[in-house]
Amino acid sequence: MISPTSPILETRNLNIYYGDKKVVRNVSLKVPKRTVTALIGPSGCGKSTILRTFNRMNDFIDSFRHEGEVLFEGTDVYRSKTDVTEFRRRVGMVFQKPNPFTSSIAKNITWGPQINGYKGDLNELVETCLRKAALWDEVKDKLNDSGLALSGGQQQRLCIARAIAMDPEVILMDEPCSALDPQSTLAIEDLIHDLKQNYTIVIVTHNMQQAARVSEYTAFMYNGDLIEFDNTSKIFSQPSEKLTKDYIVGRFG
Amino acid sequence: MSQIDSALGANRVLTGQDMSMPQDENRVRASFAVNLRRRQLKERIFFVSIFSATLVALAILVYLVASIAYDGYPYLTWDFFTNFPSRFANKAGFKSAIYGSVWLGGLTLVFSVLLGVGAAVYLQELASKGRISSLIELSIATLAGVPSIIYGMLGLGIFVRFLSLGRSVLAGALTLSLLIMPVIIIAAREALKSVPDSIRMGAFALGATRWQTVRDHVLPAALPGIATGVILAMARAVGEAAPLILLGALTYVAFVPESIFDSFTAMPIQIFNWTSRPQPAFHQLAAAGIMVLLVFLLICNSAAIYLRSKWGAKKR
Amino acid sequence: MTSRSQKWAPISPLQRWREKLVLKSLLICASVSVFTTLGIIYILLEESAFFFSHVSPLEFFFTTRWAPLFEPRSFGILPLVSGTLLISVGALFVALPLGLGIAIYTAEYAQGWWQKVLKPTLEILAGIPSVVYGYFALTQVTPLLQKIFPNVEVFNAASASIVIAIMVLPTIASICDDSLRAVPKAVRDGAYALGTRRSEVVAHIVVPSALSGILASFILAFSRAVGETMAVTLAAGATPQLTLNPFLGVQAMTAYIAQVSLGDVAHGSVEYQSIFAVGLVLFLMTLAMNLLSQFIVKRYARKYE
Repeated sequence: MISPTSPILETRNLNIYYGDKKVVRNVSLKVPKRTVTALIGPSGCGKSTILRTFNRMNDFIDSFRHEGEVLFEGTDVYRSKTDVTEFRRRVGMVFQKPNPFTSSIAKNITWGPQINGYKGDLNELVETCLRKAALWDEVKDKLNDSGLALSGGQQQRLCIARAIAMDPEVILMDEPCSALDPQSTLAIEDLIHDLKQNYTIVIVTHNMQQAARVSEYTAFMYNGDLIEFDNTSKIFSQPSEKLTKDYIVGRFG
Repeated sequence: MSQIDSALGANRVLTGQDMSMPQDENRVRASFAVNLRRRQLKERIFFVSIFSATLVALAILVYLVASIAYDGYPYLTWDFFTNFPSRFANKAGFKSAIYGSVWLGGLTLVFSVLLGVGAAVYLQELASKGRISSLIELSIATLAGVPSIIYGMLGLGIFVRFLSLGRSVLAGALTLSLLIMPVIIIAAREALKSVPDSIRMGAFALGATRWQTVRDHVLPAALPGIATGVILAMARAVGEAAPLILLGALTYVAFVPESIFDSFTAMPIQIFNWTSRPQPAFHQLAAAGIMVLLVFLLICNSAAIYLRSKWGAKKR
Repeated sequence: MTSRSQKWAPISPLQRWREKLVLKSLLICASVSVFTTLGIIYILLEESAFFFSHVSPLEFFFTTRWAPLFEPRSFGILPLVSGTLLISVGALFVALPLGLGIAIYTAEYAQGWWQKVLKPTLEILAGIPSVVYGYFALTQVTPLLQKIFPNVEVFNAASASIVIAIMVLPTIASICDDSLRAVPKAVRDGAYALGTRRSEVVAHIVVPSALSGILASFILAFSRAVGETMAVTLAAGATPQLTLNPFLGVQAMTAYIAQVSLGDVAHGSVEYQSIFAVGLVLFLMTLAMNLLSQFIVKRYARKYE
């Protein structure tokens, strides 16, 4: 069952519409702190949509509409008086396709903190974040090179370092390895394992084995509904719902 | 469907004759053969006509440049660049026009870039879709088609008279800036549009505001494309004469501007003035002036082409 | 874990205010276009109103003598309008077949290397300022015409038409090229499968499909020809007359405006205001044509499912 500590992220009776199309139906989900939670399900089930409501990245889609509540540390992110940019500082995101800025590697890391008024040592920040992202040794001699000069796996780790630089409470990952080769994928899964000590991680993945490897809790979604949410070990060995079982076994998806 | 049937079909499409009765088969075969020859002839005529159209375009360009070079070359002396206009063709020079165009161009560059790029950034990146945005876009689309002489009328009414700027370089530059502003806005918007959205999303996810994202990431990425558009717009502005005539750019100017409030002339105006004179010597002077103008335009266009190729390589 | 989110301050009111300031300034930049449009309309209407308080609109629009600077004065705009139209229609006569022909060639026939020559050629032709075309008309085209047709005057409409045709040629060629390319390959393939030759496919199938874009390009080119000043001033002259003979000199609306501006006409006089009245007519004509061109594209553009 779900851990008793208060959830850092939560949705309550969340319905999401793109125009007239309902893509998320009445989902109530609690994400525990300092854990890795995976959202799995077939294409179009709504898992990425839910992920993107946590940091309001769905705002950029014109037809987006929602009902219900989306809570971060108990505050509804949509109805609070706090500026959305403040939420986005504390809930970071890594995207499916690595998207480092075209500026230097160092600038990638320092830009976010700088525009938010960071007062510490920037060089130290760069080193700390790159170490945490297991990228320091590979790039320490070329911090002024463009972020785009790195390989795909390295770019994604740079994006993770960039997210970490903001010192968020949560890191949202939207299929972070789907554009990467198997070695980079493993490197990032190891990274997630290290990161979860300090950050809450929510990862959307269509790779079930990945979910089984990295996460402690798993939510299975199908066609906009949350079918089952439980410890990962239980979901993958003894799921309560038949639909979950069929998906795990590979009957569809 | 047999070959005859499809030929019949095609034949009917193209000649309007219906020959689907079986006893006409031989007639069809014969007429089809005749038709084929006729159609081959038509094809050749068609091709020759459209190919000659392209040859005509090329020939015109070559003839244009060659005749101007031939006329103007004798007058491209050092004196031409250092003298002021004069009643005597052999003493006349292009100096005041060149200086005037430089002053005008520089000032126009400043105004039009600030206004045009600013407007483009607003419309493309910062504005929410609403009535104000639609109104602005409607205005830009309308302005893009207004003849340049009408901008001259606007400049006359507002800058020369209402703001009492007189026949000054400042009034001229403001008018030309308004003229090329729609061009710059359209080009800059295209450049901004081509910056991939993933960069913006990455910046927003870090808690950046729209302006911070545009200022630090989108604008730098769009810069080559914007610069290309600005250069081409400036090339157009430097070649404009009609609005300046309305504003009162003088055609006999024996001095160079020393402040933005001074009167001025410009290269196209001087060329116009010399062309209007009856004496052939002045026509040759005009040709020399045209060569200077065209060289400047050539430089602008080459710079734009170079930038465009660099920008195209960056786009991912 | 060390205290989070204390390493930097939350967004200060000053920052918020600065962001708003930037937004407002850029909005003002964008609004300049609205003010420009309104300014143009206002100036044209205001000065024309003064003009029409001295000259009756009936005389302006329906009489056929334009002599604002001589005695007896007459303000019938029809000669100017006919001058403009004579030149512009003449220009389109030449530019239409040439432009469409070039577009057909580049869209349907051309190989790479020829295109590499043609495209810059057209761009250069488009970028040459109109004074240069005026010069070219006066010094090269008119003498050439006079050699072929001895009764061509020094200032004549045909010369202006020819150089304006060259000026609008790139516009027509480029828009028609786009429209032709927009016709899907599937449509062409269907026609070829019937055993038709390339010219027939192009002439009977592709061009009719692209007709709305082609038509729009013509109207746009016409609008540009009507608004053209320097070339017509230099080539066609300053004699307003109602004629269909392209070998005579005529005065276009734009040329009249330029003529008055170059002279010493007192501000506030009827002659001065007449240029705004003519300008108003010019503005409305080009506006109508631009709107028509947009309407045609929107309404009649074929949607290929």
